[in-house]
Amino acid sequence: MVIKQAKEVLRIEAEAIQNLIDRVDKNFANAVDLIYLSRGRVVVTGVGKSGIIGRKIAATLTSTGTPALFLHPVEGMHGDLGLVMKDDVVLAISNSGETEEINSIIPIVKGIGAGLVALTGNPDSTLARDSDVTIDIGVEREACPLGLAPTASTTATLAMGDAIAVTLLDKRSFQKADFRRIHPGGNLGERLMVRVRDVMLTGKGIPIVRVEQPMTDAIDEMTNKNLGLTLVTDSEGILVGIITDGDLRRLIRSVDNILQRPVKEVMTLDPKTIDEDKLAGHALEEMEKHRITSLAITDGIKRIKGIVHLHDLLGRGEFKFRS
Amino acid sequence: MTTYPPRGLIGALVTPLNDDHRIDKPSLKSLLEYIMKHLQGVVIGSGDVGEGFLIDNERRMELTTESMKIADGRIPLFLSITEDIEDQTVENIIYVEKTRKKLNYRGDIFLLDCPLHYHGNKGLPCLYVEFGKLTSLPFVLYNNPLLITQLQKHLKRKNIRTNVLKKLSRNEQIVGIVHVGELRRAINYGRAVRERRNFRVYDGSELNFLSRPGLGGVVSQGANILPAKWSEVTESSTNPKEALREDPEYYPRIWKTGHELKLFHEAYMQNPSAIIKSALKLMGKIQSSAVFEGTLRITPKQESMIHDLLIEHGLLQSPNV
Repeated sequence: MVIKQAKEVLRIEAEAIQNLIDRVDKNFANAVDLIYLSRGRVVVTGVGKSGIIGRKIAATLTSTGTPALFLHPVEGMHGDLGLVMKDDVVLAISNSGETEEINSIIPIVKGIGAGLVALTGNPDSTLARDSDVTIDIGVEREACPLGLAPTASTTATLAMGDAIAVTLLDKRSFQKADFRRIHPGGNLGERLMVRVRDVMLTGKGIPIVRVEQPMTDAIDEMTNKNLGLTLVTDSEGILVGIITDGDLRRLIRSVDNILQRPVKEVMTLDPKTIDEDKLAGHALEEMEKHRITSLAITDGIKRIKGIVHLHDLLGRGEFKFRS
Repeated sequence: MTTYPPRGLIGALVTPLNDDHRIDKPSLKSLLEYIMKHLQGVVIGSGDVGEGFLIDNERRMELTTESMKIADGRIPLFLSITEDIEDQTVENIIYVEKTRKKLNYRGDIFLLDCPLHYHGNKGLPCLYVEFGKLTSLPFVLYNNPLLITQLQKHLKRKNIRTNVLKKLSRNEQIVGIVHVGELRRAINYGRAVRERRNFRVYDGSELNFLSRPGLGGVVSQGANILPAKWSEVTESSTNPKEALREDPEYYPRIWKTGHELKLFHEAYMQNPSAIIKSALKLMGKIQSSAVFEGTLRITPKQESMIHDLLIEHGLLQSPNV
């Protein structure tokens, strides 16, 4: 009897996933594109068992290169919606599509300007109607009696979440090195989801010299601040250049009396910068793209607000650029 | 545009009779009013508890007309049209069409048909194409192998074959199926009609629904006696509300209700029409527990058993109180 029942449950759950195959259509592709093209994170939300599934989907997305986090809608209503930005995509999970807690945050999410993808078993629901894209995760039958616990429907949701994550992974050409980047301590994915402003060095921690100062001052500043570089400003504090350890090594043999020369003769012009509202993950991508280890953070007129170093993002000794 | 049948609890109504075996119209009204507010649809003259295969032509027409008058569009009606032979079934389709027009009936009507009672699997898709020429009303199929066996039909097949259902589901006018029997077949039927998103597969077997609920809903005989409790369990199974789950009393209550429904199911399945009618008479919902010629009469033991069960569950006052 027990074996028969177990087989019955597994048959129902397998059927639920089998059914999903026919439901994967252009809506699925649109949802993946929406997430892929967004410059923000995926914010997964749901309550009850859907919430538990949502946490797993967020973790899977993060592990496979799509920055994601879980937001409980009730916490959202009490202030946590502040973490949703306009570049984010909210992935809302509700089998009925009428979960009050979820539907109450929809107007706020829409007001912020974030994208909204619904994972629901009811394509005619309020959630589906208000979403940019709806993915149908409806099942024909639950395996648990009396609706005491969702079974096949949560299995289907979980499977669809995996389909989204893996599709995005393929789309991003996620590499072995990316896994190294995201998995060293298990919590690195979370660390890359914070904003640059939350990890950047500010105030006296920023190595800065002015263009007219001699290179000896620049070397002292680089040594004291221990970032292997110094930013260079003009007399009005506007960022104009950068000197790095690498610059010094390259120039020390080719330039005479380098220590007596003013900084402006040695510096590299127009250093790379990043907006403080960007994700730490984006900062990491920029560093990797340009093969540099720091990015300056400036305001609209290029006044220095901070600096972010690889170590601030990843911790020491945990990162190597892809060869 | 095709009308799709509702999800949820569909009550299979017993057919109330007078002691002289005429349709008991006041009891029909009383019973419908008692259960209607808890249901998403109601089956009139079903082959099992509604004794639909035993109703003669005159009384079926009377039952159909009266049900439409009482329901008055307030609830979707599943009108059983099946007869022993195809020609009589056709007559029923025509009668429903005429009555609907005559009464200017605006509510949803679905024609419930058990084709294997008068036809084999072969040629079923063509049969419904022909039926479609007689009516614009949607059809819901009824698959009940036990009933076909009981009626001693020596047909090769007791079930609508899955691949035949797949073909039938391509006919837009066929919008659902009620399956009484093995869960495995219900799953296969679900797979066969997958391409029709709104095609409804109802559990005609209450026990299947209570253990592994199909999200299309259930066609329930027990809803005659316990409509509110069947409604609560159906809602919980097909449309669970997360908010309700926060209530610490929710799980114990649903569990207890489910257990109660199973107890009643076990009791009335010994002789469904007679025992349910007896219960309804005791509860004062119908005047007589008379059944059609051909239905087993209730035994004194069964009568005593349902009486005690009703008292035990507070549906009837104990004579000692």
